[in-house]
Amino acid sequence: MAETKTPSHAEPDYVVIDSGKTSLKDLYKKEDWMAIWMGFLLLIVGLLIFLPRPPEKMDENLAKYNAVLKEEAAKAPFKTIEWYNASSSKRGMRATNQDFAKTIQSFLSAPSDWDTNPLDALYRSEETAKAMGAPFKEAADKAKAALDAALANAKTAQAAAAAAGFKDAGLNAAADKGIKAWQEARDKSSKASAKVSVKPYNRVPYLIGLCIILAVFFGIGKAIMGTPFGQFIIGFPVVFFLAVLAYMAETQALMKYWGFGFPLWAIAFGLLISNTIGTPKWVMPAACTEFYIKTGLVLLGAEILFNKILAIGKPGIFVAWVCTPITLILTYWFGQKIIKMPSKTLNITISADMSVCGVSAAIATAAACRAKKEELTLAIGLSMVFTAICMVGQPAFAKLVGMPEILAGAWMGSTIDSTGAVAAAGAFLGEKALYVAATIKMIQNILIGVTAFCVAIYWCTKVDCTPGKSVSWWEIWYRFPKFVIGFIIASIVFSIIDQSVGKDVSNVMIDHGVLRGFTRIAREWFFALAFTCIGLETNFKEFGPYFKGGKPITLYVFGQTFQLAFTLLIGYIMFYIVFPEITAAI
Amino acid sequence: MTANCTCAKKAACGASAPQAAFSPWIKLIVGFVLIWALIFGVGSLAHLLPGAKHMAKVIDERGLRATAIYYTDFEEPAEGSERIRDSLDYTPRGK
Repeated sequence: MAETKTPSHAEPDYVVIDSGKTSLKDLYKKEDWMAIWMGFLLLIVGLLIFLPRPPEKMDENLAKYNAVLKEEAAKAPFKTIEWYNASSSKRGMRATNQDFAKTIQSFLSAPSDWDTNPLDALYRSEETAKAMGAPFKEAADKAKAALDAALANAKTAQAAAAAAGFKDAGLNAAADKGIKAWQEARDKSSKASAKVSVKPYNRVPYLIGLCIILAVFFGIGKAIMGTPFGQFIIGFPVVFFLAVLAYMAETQALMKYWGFGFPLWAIAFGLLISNTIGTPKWVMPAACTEFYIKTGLVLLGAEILFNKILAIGKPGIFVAWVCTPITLILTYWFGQKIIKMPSKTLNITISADMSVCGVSAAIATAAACRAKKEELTLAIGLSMVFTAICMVGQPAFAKLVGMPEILAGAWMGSTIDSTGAVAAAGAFLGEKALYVAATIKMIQNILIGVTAFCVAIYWCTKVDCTPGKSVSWWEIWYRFPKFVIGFIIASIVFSIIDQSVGKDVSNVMIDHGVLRGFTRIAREWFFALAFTCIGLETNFKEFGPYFKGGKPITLYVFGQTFQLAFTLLIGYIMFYIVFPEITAAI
Repeated sequence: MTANCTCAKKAACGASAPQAAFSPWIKLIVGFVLIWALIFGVGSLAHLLPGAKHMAKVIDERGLRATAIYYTDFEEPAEGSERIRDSLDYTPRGK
């Protein structure tokens, strides 16, 4: 078995390598362009699969639910039972709930949750599924009985308020309270019944199928660019297998509590192989970090829907889109001027990952500024450790000081790095905090597109040039990471589609159709493959210089401390002083 | 294993050094054991630290994916933003 301990490529250290000059051949010979075509191909396939297949009577039902919401909002000064039912029915409409979408998801799904036996992530028999659901049956029945009782109470209270023409403040308050109690009971009942309905599965054949599909897909891309198809196909299963292992580490019952996701594990498993037995040479043709990352980023571009920034109104924009860039710029400045970070690319990658949204921002920024692989790895490692601390610490602090749920949600949504950890921290405090935190994070996620684009431009025009010399447009074009164009085009096109079909239809067909039902899952696999390759191509020793003086940690702690204080202040001003009516409506 | 490699530690490769080549495999196994220990050792702290224990309960009850890296990776941002949008677009005002 031929093997190598360190990468044998000419320039293996960079997430994205500069091409130097350009020609028409680049359109099919360079990874940047190939990633764009392959990403676009998947997006077009996704659109062709989902758009012609809307759920039955979609338009009619959406119009019906909206009419109920409007009518109920005009009828009572609180959200009535009918209001909640209409809102819930609207949310239940998803293109992904249809059979064809479920089949696609079975092919693309990652390994499932497991506790002590890793094989449970891949296979669960019918008997095991039944046995797993059985202990929760009694709790689910109790929750259902409590739900029925809460609904009966809510109906009685609402009827009393209605009998008084919704003019009696006391009856209105009692009805509002009863309806909220019913909502809580409904939430608990739905979670309890979800635990009973445990489904059997066998992921192995699907994973083998997915491995073949991805090998052929990327193999063709690589073949067009000049790598022999056979060489790529031979090495790919190893990369894929390690990516599956990374997913399995993420889905372990204890690990999901800490927010340690597949990126960390993929790098860890890759590093373990490359720094012990060495990455076999026959695997190296399939270790294409850049290709997977760029293709994944083009798909991620489609998930950057600019209309989402209005999801929580003006206060949300201020908290997510004003505090975040200020923190990013200030942290980068602090890194350059005060602690004098030796690497600008490491500085901006950590600054973006800390201020925007963790791993996803780190990937996009590192690719846009051509950071080294070790720098991306370091930024992700820091982010995951601090996320685990903040995920538990911030909600505990908010509870201790009695922070209102909406303020706490906005604060945590904007300051905790990882998107999933934000939701967990919000849920720690309650329903409102969860939804506000998750929504603020979603708005902040959209900032990735702008950040990556601005960083790419800044690097081409300011960082990668001789001080004092002007740079021509051609020079900028040569240096510009071309895949960012695909990333931005995907975002613009999908934002236009999202806007033109309307919010409700877009939620059903784009967000819960093309994106969540197809391209998102593919994007996540591509990132898992990319992180595995980073590990396979990296030597532990290369991390040493970055830790000298503890500068990355100082940078992170400074940025995070500033962001915590600044966002809390702005969040309070926006949600409680400038726009209190929006806070009241939420 | 063959001598055709670019190992950082030369002793770890080469057909003429079978005993030395044994050590990387031991390291690999030790590495996997350490990862396993990390998962179950550090992971178990979630049940011991008070705040982390409550967080673990919340994550379990809601079936949250705390490891999600983007808003499309799990349901809560969509659920939350749709609820908030309905609340803002159809704010109950009464007669």
